[in-house]
Amino acid sequence: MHTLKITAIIYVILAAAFSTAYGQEAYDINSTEVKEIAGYLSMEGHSEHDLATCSTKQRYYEEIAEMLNDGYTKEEILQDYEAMYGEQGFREPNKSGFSILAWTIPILMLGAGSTAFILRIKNQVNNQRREKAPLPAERNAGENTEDEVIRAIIEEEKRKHF
Amino acid sequence: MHIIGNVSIYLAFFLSIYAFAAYVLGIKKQDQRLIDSGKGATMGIFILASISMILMLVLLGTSQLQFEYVYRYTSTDLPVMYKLAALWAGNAGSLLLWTFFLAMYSAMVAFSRKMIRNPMTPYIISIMMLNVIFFYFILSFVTQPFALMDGVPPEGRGLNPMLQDPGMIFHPVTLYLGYVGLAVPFAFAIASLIVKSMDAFWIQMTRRWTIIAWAFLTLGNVIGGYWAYTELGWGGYWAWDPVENASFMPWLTVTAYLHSVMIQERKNMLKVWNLSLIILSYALTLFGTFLVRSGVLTSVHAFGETNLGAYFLVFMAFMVILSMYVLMSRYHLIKKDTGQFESFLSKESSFLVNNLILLGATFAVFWGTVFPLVSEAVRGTKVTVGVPFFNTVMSPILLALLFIMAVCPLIAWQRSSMKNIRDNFLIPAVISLAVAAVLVIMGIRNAYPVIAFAIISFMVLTHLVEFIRGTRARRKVTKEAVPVALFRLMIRSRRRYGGYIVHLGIALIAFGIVGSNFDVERMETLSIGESMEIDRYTLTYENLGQRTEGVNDIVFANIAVEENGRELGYIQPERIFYLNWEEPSTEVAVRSTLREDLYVVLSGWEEDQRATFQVKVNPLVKWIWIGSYVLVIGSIFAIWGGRYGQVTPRYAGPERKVH
Repeated sequence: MHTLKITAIIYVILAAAFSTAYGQEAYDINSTEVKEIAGYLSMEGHSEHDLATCSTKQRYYEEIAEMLNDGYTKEEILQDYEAMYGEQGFREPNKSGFSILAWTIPILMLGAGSTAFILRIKNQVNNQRREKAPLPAERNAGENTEDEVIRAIIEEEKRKHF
Repeated sequence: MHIIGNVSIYLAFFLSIYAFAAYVLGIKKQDQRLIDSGKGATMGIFILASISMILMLVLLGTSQLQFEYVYRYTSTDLPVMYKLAALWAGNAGSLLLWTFFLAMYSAMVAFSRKMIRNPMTPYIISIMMLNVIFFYFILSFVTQPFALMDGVPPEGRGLNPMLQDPGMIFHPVTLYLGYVGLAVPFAFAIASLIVKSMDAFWIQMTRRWTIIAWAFLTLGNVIGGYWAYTELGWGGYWAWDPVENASFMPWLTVTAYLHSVMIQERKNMLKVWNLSLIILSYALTLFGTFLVRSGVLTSVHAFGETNLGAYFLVFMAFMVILSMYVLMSRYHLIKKDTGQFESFLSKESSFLVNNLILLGATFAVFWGTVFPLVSEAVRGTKVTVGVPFFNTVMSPILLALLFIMAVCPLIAWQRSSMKNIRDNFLIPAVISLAVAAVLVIMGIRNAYPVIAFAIISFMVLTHLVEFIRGTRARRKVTKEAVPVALFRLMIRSRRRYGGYIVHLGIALIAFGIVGSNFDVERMETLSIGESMEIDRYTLTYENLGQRTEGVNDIVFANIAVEENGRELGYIQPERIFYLNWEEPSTEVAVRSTLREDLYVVLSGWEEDQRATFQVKVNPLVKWIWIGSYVLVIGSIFAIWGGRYGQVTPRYAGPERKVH
């Protein structure tokens, strides 16, 4: 039992040491995971600055790399920043509460526009159909590229001669 | 100098009021002498605006530091080119430039040969005069370009180093030419409503004006994008910054307008729609100016916080209400004799879908731009609406737009059939699907780039099909050789084929934008002789040096570049330290090829000469700039004079005694 306890303790210590050492090597500011997480954050308005010259942005990258090396997951890191800065800590509005309007209003407007467009054309097409019998589309002369080109040539010749 | 400058501004202000009053009274009393007097005043305003401009350029060029504007934006050591470009570095100077363009355009319309004896002319100029009055009011009483300092300072504050770039010379000027150019079709539109001329005359007359304004807006945005790409701290070629969005919105609405006017000209449809679009486009130019000059939103491109925005907001509201009132009062006349859609599947309806998408995109950009203000007003929390939001919302909209651009040219006017669609689209669709399959096989697994590249291929192919069909049809009749037939086909239908060239330019830009999303980036600290690897490149840091240029000190690093073991030479990122500016600026070293850009930044260095570099490989970015050239070439081709299709339209509206 005693041997088992000692083995377990040694295992825990080694695992912790190994994970720290391994983690330090695993994540730095060039890691894809760091860039991905940083991509969510507004970094106090420095998110669009260049990493090369912005010390605030560099600090955030280093902080994220450090947290990843400490074993935090992406979700935990983002939650941590949300706890610190709230919605303002991110580069895009939340997809809940009042901020959902930022996402939904453009879609609603486009939807309303599309509906109005369909109704308008439907209405006008029906009116046209009632008023006159349509020509078969294949015989819709003068409206295709070939017809337009030939018509333009005829016009050109007319202009030359008259 | 101070007196001449101020007199030229105040005199032009009073002359613009006089011109407006002369036109209005002349129209009311039908007195040609008053109209002619107004035209004389319009020319007088242009001369005064030219005097103010020349004077300001002389003051800037000769470093007359007793003038506040010269002191604030220049220094004696600044190169002459940037001393002159400082004209548009601050509020007063840039508004002076804006006013000059407005006065120039007003005089051009007033004395245009095409508008001789046209009863619309006095109406058009009086609407333009409203704009001139507003701008001269601002220059006279809000931000005065010729204000003097209390004494003569020994040295000026200098121009922000970020503005000391060739982009500074071209970007603001092209953008202003685009913004101001939109005032002309707007004035024609309102004038045609007032005189109750309900045909397409105003559209035909302003076609060139609008395309030129659109081309300048495009050029302004692209030059701005290139400048931001090479200038650190501006977030790359496009960062969805409020000020960038402000110039993108009118571009979108004018693009919609340029398409929908074709339907009015050809089918007499969408009259209210076209009027609304030009009013909206004009209003958005004022809204953009409000955003840039009010400081209500945070932007790296803004002029800083001033009270100017409020004036622009009030003026914008006044002009929009006036336009809407005129539009509504003529609504019953516009609706008369309006053409009708005959089919869901026709060029007309596809143009309307294109308009719908463009307006949807405009609204999405507008909403994203103002949402921080809405959120702050409602909840007290100013949220950030940044790149991820715009990319998520705009990507599907812009993909849909590219798809419509691909489909539109091959759909017949009035009514199309399934056979027409099958014949025209089958081969491009099959090839585009093959492109998508190849991309997936090559390992691209993200849906967006695969779909985007497929749609871009589809768009390019449908346009090529259109060129082939036209050439073939011409050859059938004329038996000309292929190049001759293609050339003659294009020059005889400049507007159509110029438009297609513009579309191909957009396809190239889209190709570059989608490709640039596959960028890779590394930041490393290297000792002399050490190397770093990124993608296929190996960069070896050879040494750090210093040189002096004028009064500025430049620190640079020499980096040897190899691609797959092949030596490519050296690149030299720099940092510049200015005598008259606290912050140094960073000059990026870019090695650009059609495949990708190698983008190197000198981030910092230590005493032992270790230096930190940020290195990026940005694929296909050069195609964005190539596409922009193609786009401008297409615009010029569409408006270029010639024997064909450049006939002055005939005015058929109500006649008046005055013109």
